This record gives sequence, C-alpha cells and structure tokens, in this order.
Amino acid sequence: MPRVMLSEGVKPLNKAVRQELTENDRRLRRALVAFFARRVQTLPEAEDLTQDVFFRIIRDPKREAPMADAYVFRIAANLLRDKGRRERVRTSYREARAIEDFLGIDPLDPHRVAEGRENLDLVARTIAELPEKTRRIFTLYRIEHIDKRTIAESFGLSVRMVEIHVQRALEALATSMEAFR
Amino acid sequence: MSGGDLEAAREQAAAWLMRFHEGPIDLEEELELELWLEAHPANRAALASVERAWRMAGAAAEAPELVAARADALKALSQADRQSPRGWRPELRHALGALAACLLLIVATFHFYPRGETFRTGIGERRVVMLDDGSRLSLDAASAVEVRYDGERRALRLLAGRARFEVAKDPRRPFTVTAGDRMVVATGTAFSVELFRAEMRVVLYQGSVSVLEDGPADQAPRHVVLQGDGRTPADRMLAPSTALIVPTGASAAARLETVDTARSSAWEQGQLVFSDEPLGVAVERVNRYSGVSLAIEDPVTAALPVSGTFNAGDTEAFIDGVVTLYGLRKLRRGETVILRAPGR
Repeated sequence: MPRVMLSEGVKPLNKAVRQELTENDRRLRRALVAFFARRVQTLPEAEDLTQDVFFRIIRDPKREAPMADAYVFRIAANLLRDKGRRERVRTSYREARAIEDFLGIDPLDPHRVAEGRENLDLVARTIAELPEKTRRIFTLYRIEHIDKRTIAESFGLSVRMVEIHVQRALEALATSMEAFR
Repeated sequence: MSGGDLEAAREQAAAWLMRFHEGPIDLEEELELELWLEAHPANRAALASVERAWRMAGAAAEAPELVAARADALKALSQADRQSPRGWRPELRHALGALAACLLLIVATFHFYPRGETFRTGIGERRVVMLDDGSRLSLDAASAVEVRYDGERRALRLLAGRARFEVAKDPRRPFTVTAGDRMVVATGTAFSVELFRAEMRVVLYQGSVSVLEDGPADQAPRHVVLQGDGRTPADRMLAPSTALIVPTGASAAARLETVDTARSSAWEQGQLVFSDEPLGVAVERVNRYSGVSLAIEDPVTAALPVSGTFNAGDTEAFIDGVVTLYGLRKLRRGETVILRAPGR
C-alpha cells in the first residue's frame, strides 16, 4: 500500500480528480465527507481526507470500473486507520459509534425518556397483536436478548427468516407509533 | 417516494437496527450506513422511526402487559428446542423453563395483588368515598374495598363486609367489583355487594350488572348460573329490587330473592332490616357494628329465619329480640355471646 500523501501533495491534482467525478462519485463523496467529519476536528480536514480517498483510487492500478461501493469503503476505512496510527489523534477513532450519532439524537433527551413511559400501552398492544411466530421471535430477540442463531436453530428456521420476522415486528411498531404521533 | 420505497426503507432501517444490536460496527459498515443515509432523506426518517420502535419495545419489557407475551415466547422456545433434533444443552433449556416460570409468577402476582388504594371501616363505622370518576362508594361497618383505576378499567375488590356502589357512566372503562372469585361488572348503575363466609350477595338498585365467575384457567370468566336448570345466566334475571345470592365454593348455583330496596339500603342510615334471613347471616351483619361478638356454633340455629328492624350497633337489643322471639339461649364467654336454639 502506498504511503499517504499529505494534503499539499493532493491539491494540485484536484482538477484532475474532479473531472473523474461521475454522478456515482458525488453520491459517495457526500457519504465520505459525513464519515470523516465525525472523526476529525474540522470540515476542511474531512474534505481533504475525502480528496485523499479519490487520489488513492486514481493511483490504484487494480481499480475497477465501475467502482464497487465496498471497494471505496475499504480505501476510506484504511485511510482513517493509517491516520489514526500515524498521528495518534483521537483514540475514539476505533470506537464504534452508536446509532444516536447517525441520527443526531441526544441519548439523554428527556423527551425520549418520557416518551418510553407514555407509550408502553401502545407498544404492548402492538406486540400482542403480531402474528404468533413474529411475536415470539421478536420478543425473544429484542426483549430476552436471545441470539438469532439460537432462535433459528430452535424453531428450525434460517437466520434470514428470523431476521425477517424481527423486521416485520419493527415495521409494525414503527407504523403504529407513527399513527399515534 | 412511493409506498413500496417507504417499505423498503423501513426494511433496511430494521436490518441496520439488528446490526447494531449484534455488536460494534466497523468502519466499512459505518460508511455503508452513511452512504445509505445520504442517499435519500426518507432513509434517515425510516431509521429514526425504527430506532424509536426498537427503543420503546425495550422500555416496555417490564410492563405487565408484555409479561404474558414474554412467558409465551420463552415457553415456545424451550418446547421447540425439546423437539429439535440438535437441541441445546439441557441446562440451558432448564434455565429458560425457570425464566418462563418466573414470568408466570409475575403475571399471577399482578393478577391477584393489584396495587391500589384500600378503604376500610372499623366496627360500627360507616364511610362514604367519592371516587375519582364521580362514582360513590359506601362502606358498611367492618368492610374493606380496594380501588384500582387506570386508563382502561375501574377495578374494585370487596375484601370484607358490604359496600354499595353508585357507578358513574363511562362505557370505555368498565366498572368491576370482584368478591371472592366472582366478579360483578357494571356500566352505570347502583348495586351493593356483600361478602359472607358462605355466600356472596349482590343487590341491584338500578340499571343492570353482569355476575361472572372464574372458570378453568385457560378460559374466560363465565356467567354465574341459576340453580334449577343450571344453565340460565343468573344476571339476566337480576332486575332492580332483586338480590342474587351466590354460595361460595366452586361453581355452586345461585338463587334470586326479591328485596325491598328501601330497606335493603337502610344500613346506610344505620338500620339493620331483616326479612326472613338466616340467623347466621343476620349475626354476621350485626357483628360489623359492635365490639360484642355474636357466635352460633350449630347449623340448625344458623338456619333459623329472622325478621325485624334493629338499630345498627345496638347488639344487646338484637340479642334480646331474637332470644325473646325464637326462644334462644344465650351464653356469654368473655366478649363473645353464643346463641343456641332450644334443645341444642
């Protein structure tokens, strides 16, 4: 893997990189900036890192066209890992992010806490009205914290089927709470 | 965005929720999620709404309403595993069985010991309580009623003695009075329920009520039936100015009696009116008003019919009355007076 070029080395290539941008690249770019922005101090820094990703892609002799998303993700993740190792910046780099980060929610928002108590009835009713199999699988997975492989084996189902039942239950709950709101 | 797209967004959002539940996500997955969120504003909305559903389901885990579903799921899992050819370790199955049993116990506890406010009266004391919904509860002496109101029901339990209920109409929240294993269900009406050692009496003043009893555990409560054909629901025949007398004990048939409702509610004014009632029943009522306790030790004496009007609390007058009218003998043993029919 080539060493990472610092920003000064990247900037002259900006024009060439931009010319490479297809609609697909723009889509990826937005996600990459958002991804880096949560991990570094400033937005310009996140934009520089995004440029670095495209620079790496252009320089990669094994680059495929069209690019698979997974390929871009791997390059971006490796870039961040390298940066983390080299600069010893924030140890939180390796820490997994909670879903609240992605949604921009404060986990201790008092409204969220109160909401939980107010809607117990509706939640319990919606769960009770699910089809038997869906209700059982969802209850075991979400409330009893039983592993989906264990559930699948016990009921003689595939793991994928267990996932589908959990998804259906979540969709039903989301729908009934949407109606309530 | 079409309905199908919304559905697809919800489905993917649910898959992400499950992924978070499985453990920390790596950087590549984080980017994949970021890309999905950036792709359409509806995706973020779908994730927010499914996240909310996920969180609330977790918050509801301890709710009594969910305990039955949890016990059912755990039971199904341990049974399915028993039949599965590659079942797990037996100790895990036992642990699950124990967990299911604990949950059932919680269900039972909620069912039999609802938390609520209990109103009590002492000997000779009477009390009227205005309940939150405008219903009126009159407690006879030495009586207790537990009141538990929530958004869906108004559940009362007669623990001892007698109480009269004047029920404010609220069709969305049934008003139920449980006494022993019988339940009286009312909407807007006035009635009283009285508990004796051997029977329960429901007197209807106005409106209508249903009188139910617990059936086998897996069945819904059923209507108490009348003696005779053993099929007619007793409450169907319970008109105002009628008393329904249900013997305690499993599924004993009930009987109806006409009552003078003006007299029957006389206890609220401090009078005890008996009209051909068994002495045993009369004595239990008299005892609610006095520290002097009357006792009957043989069933023949207890079955003697008594009639008359007495001032509540004046037990000596009652004793003198029945002794004179029926030629009973009285024996004092400390604070207790024992009544005996002649020749007993």
